[in-house]
Amino acid sequence: MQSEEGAGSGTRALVVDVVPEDGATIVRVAGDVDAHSTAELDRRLADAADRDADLVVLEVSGVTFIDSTGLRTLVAANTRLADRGGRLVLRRPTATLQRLLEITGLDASFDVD
Amino acid sequence: MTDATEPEVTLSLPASHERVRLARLVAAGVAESVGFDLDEIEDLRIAVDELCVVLVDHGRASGLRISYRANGADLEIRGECRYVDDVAESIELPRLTRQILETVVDEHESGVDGDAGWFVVRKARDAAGT
Repeated sequence: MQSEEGAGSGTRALVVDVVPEDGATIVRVAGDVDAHSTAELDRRLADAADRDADLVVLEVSGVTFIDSTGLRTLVAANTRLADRGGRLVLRRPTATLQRLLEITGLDASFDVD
Repeated sequence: MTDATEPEVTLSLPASHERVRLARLVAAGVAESVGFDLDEIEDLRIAVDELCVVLVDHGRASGLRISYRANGADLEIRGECRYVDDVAESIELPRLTRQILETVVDEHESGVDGDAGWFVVRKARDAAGT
């Protein structure tokens, strides 16, 4: 289950892999999460939440860029799962993502693995 | 690395989210060419992205023009969007965008003049990198 957006002239196209596992759904994200690509990530995260509302693990070590629109998508997914009694876990955030979470005060909102 | 004033690099793009990635790419290239380190380049990439998205989202625009000018240890990036419809006379930065910009660059300004939205960001290289 993989989706890929168009090539980005030297930037990294978004790739989202959704892997159902026992007790959790793993969503692996790689590439640039920006205003153009984030709708796709939002859709895949919503699907994952529909499939497994208990635990969604968002593996983000392959994210090469993320902006505030991407952060909003993460917040929306976190809220969606929490409203259903579930959890979103960010796994292996890059230093850049971790820094942005701290700058915006969102680091306290996420479980980080 | 150079401390001389570099020729201005300009980029003209369709005003779309999809093309903002090119503005990031050029920001990274120009910053790298004048000696910014990886963290500073990342800061500039996100600043340019945030402000380009703000301009694109402000109204229906005919295009987005971005200029990059290095002067010694400083890099100044200017963006402009000309709108084809009437738009709000000021730009209000979203909260997350404002928080990010205030940390990653030394100065940022944005606004609307007539039918054009604009931004300016400035960032200096870390003294240790000079």
